Amino acid sequence: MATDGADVDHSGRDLDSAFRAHRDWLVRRLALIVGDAEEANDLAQETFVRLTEHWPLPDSSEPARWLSTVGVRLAIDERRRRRRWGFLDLRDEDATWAITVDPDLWRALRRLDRRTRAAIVLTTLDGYSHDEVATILDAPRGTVASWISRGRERLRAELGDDG
Amino acid sequence: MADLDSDLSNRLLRLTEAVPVSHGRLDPVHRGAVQARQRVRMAWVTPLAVLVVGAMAFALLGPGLGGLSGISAATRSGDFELTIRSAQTTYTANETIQIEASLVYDGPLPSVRIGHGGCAARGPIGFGIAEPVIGALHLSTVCDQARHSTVLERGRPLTVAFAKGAASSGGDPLLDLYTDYLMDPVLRLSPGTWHPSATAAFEAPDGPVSLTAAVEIDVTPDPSAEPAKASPFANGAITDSQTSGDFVLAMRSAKAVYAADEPIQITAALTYIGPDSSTFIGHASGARGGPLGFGIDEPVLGGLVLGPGWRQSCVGSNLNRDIALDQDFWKAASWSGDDPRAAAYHDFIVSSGLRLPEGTWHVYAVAEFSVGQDCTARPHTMRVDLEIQVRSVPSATPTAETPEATPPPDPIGQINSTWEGDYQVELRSDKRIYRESDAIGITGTFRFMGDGPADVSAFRPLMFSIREPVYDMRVNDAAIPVVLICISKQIEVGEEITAPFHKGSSMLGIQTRTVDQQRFLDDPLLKLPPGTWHVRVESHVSAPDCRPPATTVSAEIEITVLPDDAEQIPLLTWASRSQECRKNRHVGQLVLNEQSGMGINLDGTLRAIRWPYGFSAWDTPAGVLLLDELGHVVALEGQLLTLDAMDEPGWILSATCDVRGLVLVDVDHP
Repeated sequence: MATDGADVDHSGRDLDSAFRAHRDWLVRRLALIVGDAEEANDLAQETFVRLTEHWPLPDSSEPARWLSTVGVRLAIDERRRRRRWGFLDLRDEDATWAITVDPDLWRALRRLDRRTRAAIVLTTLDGYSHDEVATILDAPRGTVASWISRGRERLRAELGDDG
Repeated sequence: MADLDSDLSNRLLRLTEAVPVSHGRLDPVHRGAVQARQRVRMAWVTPLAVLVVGAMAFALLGPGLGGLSGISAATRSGDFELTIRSAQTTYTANETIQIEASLVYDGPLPSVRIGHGGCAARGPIGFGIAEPVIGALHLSTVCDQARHSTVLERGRPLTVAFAKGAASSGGDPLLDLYTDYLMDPVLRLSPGTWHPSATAAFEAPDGPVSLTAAVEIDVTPDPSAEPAKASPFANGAITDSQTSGDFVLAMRSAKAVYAADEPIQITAALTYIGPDSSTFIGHASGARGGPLGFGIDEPVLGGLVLGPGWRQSCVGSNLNRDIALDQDFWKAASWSGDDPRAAAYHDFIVSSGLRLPEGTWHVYAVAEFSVGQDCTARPHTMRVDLEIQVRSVPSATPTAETPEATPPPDPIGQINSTWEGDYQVELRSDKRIYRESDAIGITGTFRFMGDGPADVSAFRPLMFSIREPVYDMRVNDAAIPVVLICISKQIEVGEEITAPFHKGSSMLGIQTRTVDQQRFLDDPLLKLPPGTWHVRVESHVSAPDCRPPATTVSAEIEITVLPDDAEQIPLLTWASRSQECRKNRHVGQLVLNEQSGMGINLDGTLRAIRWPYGFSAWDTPAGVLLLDELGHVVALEGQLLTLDAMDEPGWILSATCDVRGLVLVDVDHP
């Protein structure tokens, strides 16, 4: 799991250093899933509030994985809540940061459902295995593998072979 | 595939690097709030928060207590000073205690922004009282964990009125009594010496600040006081309490008016509140051998006088601090064996529960004891009184033990209000649940609450928007093209601007509106398709000549729009908010249920559920919807949900019970 902190205690043994070490990448990952940078910042803050509640984590818990799990689940639940019924898709105007950098990729990602998007981000960007993603998303491994497989097929079709 | 992997990884990485990450820090205010939540569970309910908001507005707009003769105390940390004021130094019992607190910044800057949790009126200040106010109930600062910020202008105090918040251990036998006390927006105290305090904990530009100030007030007995009696407007619980030294005696009746032959639910509790972890008291043997006894002033059955009925001359009880020793009404009386009604008296005494014939009854509880094992001295003689009525007609209010199916709440609106410095914006809806053909009544109000006129520019008092796209179109009245000419004006003291929701839309580029979009914009009324919608109002004001600082304050409410053909399903619910705190945890799939309207299905086991107060269920083309008291969609038929328990140890009492326990644990969007 990559982090963006440059001069911080990456061990994350205390809460403040964990916050500094992990917050930025968490916001960036969540933004890919929810599409809205402001909402991603809010979700990251809520994730750290929950981390505070559970701090210190057991020795067996890696902060980055804990944050990924809680943050991604919050992101999915939030989208689920907002779309519970009658809701429409993400807001274009809130994803200008993505559209200006790679509009094709962003449009292709947007056509994936949130869980598939999360699964692909976690595996492709952060190197999590299917088993690990299944744990994070609290879904059966086979289901997660299916999401990833279908998601990749759709991305390939959207982005072309040069991709 | 390898190419896709590699390329996708690189492109995703570039995308993440473009995400605007706002400057963030782990707010110590929130950490403090979280730590508090670890000790005690939070409970917030919007309708009561609205009441507090209203009180806040009054406190800010009103003259305050500064002009009254009273008492005050102040404490300082750096450039901040917190002052607590009481309008009087001495009150009589049952008199309204008037307390407020002010936070002032007097540093070198014109203003500072502070971050904080939402305490009284969602501001940075919370209140408490050192002594337990009733039974073992301590009032203490309770703040939510949302992120709030407030701008303090130099020398201008932020003033809030006393607001109740409290923590209590779960399973306390007086939980209902505590809830009743907290739901009363007025602060009243029993005779004694009290130390109310105000606390402000916030994040200032130079770091965290924590301030606490306290005053001492006396409450004297009210010579004209009568026993607590029924309100003419409600048949709720009534209570009475008395403090003597380190002990509190309290009594509660579940209702003020009972039906004839209905079991009368009266409980008394003695609580030690002194400095030690426990104390031992010596006393005569009263109800169930304890220090409490009960009686009724009026004789029953024509001549039977119920009284405390002390038996053994000296026994002892150990009281742990803040743990109430409680006892239901205990019948005791003596009569002559020659009395012709002796058999009837005997049957009355040995029958279970307390049932009284029609009439007005003055019920009391007493506690007589001495500290230590010596029963010879009785320094503590305490008594509490209640007046109850028994009528021949059935009680209007069902008891907690015999709840009935209740209709959903009458159409009531909602209100949300926020402040930023001297500016307040408020958003109201006339209902919480609408049909798709209903005209949705939304009104926004801007208020200026400064002490003197303010010169401002770029003044846009009410800009409405809806968070979700309507017919694929952003409804955003705030997206007015930038005005290049900076218009200045003066806002008068108390200026208030109110307007109904008005529609605008921002269409980027040259786009053609669809028929639905155009019809929506052309309709003078606000009508929305079925769904959950977040309506927002925003006010913007800048310093003269469009110079900084600019202030933006906004408020948002959530409304639900149902299809016109949605049919309501009768739903079994609790009759009041306070009752639902006794529920157990339920987990299962939301299904139709003949007994309760909607129930749950867990692994094939069907269970009827008594839903929280105000919940409703609607049969719509999208499926059956379960709505909470606020009209918000909670779940769809077929979804797996958890109805969380409220009687876990250590939960916070706010003004009423937490209904947010209903959470979705795993739901797939249909």
